[in-house]
Amino acid sequence: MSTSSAVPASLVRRRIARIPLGLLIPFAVVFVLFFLGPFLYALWLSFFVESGDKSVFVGLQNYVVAWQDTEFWTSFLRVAWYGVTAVVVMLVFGLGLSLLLDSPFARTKTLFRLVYFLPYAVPGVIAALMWGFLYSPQLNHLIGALSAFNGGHAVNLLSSGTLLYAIVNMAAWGGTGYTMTIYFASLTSIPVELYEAARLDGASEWQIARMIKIPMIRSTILMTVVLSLIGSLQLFNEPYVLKSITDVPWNYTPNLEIFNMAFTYGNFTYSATLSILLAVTTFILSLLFMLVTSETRTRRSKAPVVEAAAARPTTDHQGARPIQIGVDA
Amino acid sequence: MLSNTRGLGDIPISERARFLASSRKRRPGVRARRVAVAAAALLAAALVLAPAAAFAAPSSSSGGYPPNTFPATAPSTTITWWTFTANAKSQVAAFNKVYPNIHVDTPLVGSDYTKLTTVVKGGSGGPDVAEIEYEYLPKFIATGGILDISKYVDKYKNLFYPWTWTQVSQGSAVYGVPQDVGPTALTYQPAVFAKDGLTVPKTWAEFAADARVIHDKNPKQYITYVPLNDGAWWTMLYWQAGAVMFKNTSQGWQVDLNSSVVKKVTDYWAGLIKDGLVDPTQDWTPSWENSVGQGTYAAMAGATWTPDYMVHPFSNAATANAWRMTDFPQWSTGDPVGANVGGASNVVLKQSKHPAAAALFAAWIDGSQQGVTTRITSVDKGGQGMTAAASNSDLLPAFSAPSSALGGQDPSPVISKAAASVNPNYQWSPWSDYVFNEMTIEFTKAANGNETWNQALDNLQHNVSVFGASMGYTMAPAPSGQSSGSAESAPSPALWVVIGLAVLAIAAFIYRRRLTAES
Repeated sequence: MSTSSAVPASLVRRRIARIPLGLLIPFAVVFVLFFLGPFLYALWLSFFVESGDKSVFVGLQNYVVAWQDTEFWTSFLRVAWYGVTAVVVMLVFGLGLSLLLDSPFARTKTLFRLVYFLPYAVPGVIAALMWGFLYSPQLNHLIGALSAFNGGHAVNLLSSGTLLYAIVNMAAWGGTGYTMTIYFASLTSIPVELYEAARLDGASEWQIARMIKIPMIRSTILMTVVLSLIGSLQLFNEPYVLKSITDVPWNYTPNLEIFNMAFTYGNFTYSATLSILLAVTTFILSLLFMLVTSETRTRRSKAPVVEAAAARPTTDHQGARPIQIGVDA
Repeated sequence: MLSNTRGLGDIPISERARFLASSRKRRPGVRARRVAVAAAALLAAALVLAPAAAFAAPSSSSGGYPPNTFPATAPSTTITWWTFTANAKSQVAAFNKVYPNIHVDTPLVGSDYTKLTTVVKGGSGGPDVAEIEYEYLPKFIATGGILDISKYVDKYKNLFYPWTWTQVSQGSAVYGVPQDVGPTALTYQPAVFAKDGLTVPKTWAEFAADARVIHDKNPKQYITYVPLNDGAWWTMLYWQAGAVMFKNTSQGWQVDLNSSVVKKVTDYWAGLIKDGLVDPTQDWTPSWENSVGQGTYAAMAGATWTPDYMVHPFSNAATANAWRMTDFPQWSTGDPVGANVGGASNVVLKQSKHPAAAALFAAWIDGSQQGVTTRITSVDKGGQGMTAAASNSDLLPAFSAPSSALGGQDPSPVISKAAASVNPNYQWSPWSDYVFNEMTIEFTKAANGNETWNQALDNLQHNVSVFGASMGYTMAPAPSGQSSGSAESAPSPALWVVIGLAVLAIAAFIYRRRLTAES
């Protein structure tokens, strides 16, 4: 059939076809080991209830209980609100700083990019501890001085009414530099000809920012917004660290509740149930994110009318680049 | 806990204590004591270099303490004790004077139960003897990791207050030896009451009347605070009023969190909050500590350890000597009834290889004259500074010492009376963490006017029942004549999450359609 010199074309094709599979293995191993495996194990656990030292199969009972778990779902709404407020702050400041850096008036851009980005490099736990001290009226005399406006009572920024916004502040402090960096990278890739044309038409810098820059990076903005919203579901570090200096209920965020359910209450199976629910919610949100931001061309290239893709205006290709940035980040 | 303290060298000691307190925020009952114990232990380690020798010798004047019935000797062995008490080594030294051949290791494990939960679940790696607070003991018993030591310790039962023995027993099984207690007492500032022409309140009715007078005469002053985040505080008051919120019946666990007794107590405090006569706050927070230190509260409804651990550490020069201790207010005249808040027991783990030696150690340190002396001697004198669960501890000389936290008052008569009047019927559930957490959530909502206090109690009843079932416990129906507690009339927030996801999905699809249409 085959000689030593002539390998059948079909075999070659099969070998070549195996190469991508081989390249996938490192990812697949890690994915299965640290994501799929734990997920399936948690799914398995969620069908049981542990009573004393024995496990009883209860089917979907844990999920019925979870549906009625008012506080768990309230924590979802809480982190959603947290996400919205944090995203707005990060968006406004991140966009503002990146536009300033991108404007022709900016000096020592590299230095300021680094300075603005630095807070993101501080680990979340350290940042939370640091802010915890900064919020203390005894340690931070600025906060201490605020008591003058509060009838002489110490201002407690970590009381239940303002706690969420104290955490939003921490997140915004860390996240603004990050979004700014993404926006700035996106801004630098806008063709300079557009600005020149605008200036010839008599546009001011503010008009250029509003009419050209922001619309051009719209899909980047959308991506950071959606990613931040999804990320806010995972809120854990800040409230966990703040528990040491103020009263944060254990079910303040979904992740805090899941952690607590397993390691304080010792209810591992119900904790697994809640984890599955959080994972499914995050998965749905991520799917929607992909739907909104993924390249429309990819889908249409399979469609019969190929010309449509070629005919697309170049500005639409903006959609592809930000995702690259997102992956790199 | 340790990771939090690292690098805090430049921070004031009070601030450091707060970080030390971090890991026990969810065990409000005793965290107070342990905050201070931890802080005091630091101080003791730094300042008192040779504490053990000072007092460990048995007191020569036994003063009627029951005769020693502990064995004279015990076989050689080594055991491990996980404890979070101050000066634990003093206790071991006292024990080794009598039993030199039982070596006791006291590794530094901190006060977190996470590690204990893990080793009990894993079945190995645990200590022989572990210190567990009363409210968390049922949880550990339910996991099957605690040894029934009745055959070793039943003979020492008469050394302890009967109600403490109830706390560590289930039927004929005994799962631990009571170590210390926190019977209820009122810590108050006599000058504040005297200034307004009041005497210290003996009943809750008088307390409420005084609350109005005190606040009316000085709007910045409150008779006391209500810690919305402290389930142990509320439990103490329910317990005193005679509520039994959890009962392990033959039909399973019966939850009774919205009984008429619980409602009576809750309504009492809700009324004071509504009229603005008490300060609804969160205890163990900086603003609360500040208020305590400034003397904003005329009185503190707490335990016999309140002066040392909730008042003294936060006092300033003006208020340091202002406080005294007296009997807890009552619901009715007649025999005084109290409750317990805080306190722990020493248990023997099933995985212990030396259960006899471990049980002897637990019984001796908690019941013998020398052990109890160490227990009640103040921390700065090398002892452990607690109110002992041993009922004859008031016969020991160390018991009636003037307290520096009470301006030199000898609180021993109040303590004896308080410890003897604890309502003996209370039973803890295996879900104390959860109940305390839910109380924080519901009571905060009620105090903010987001729901009525009755709704808060009904929600508590409902949520705790659901949680108990989710933990695999058989739940008995609530006592007849009370609402089942399924008061959640509004749809579950889960629905809102689903609706939110649906809206986002529709928005995403519309956006996608528009993108496709554009190109």
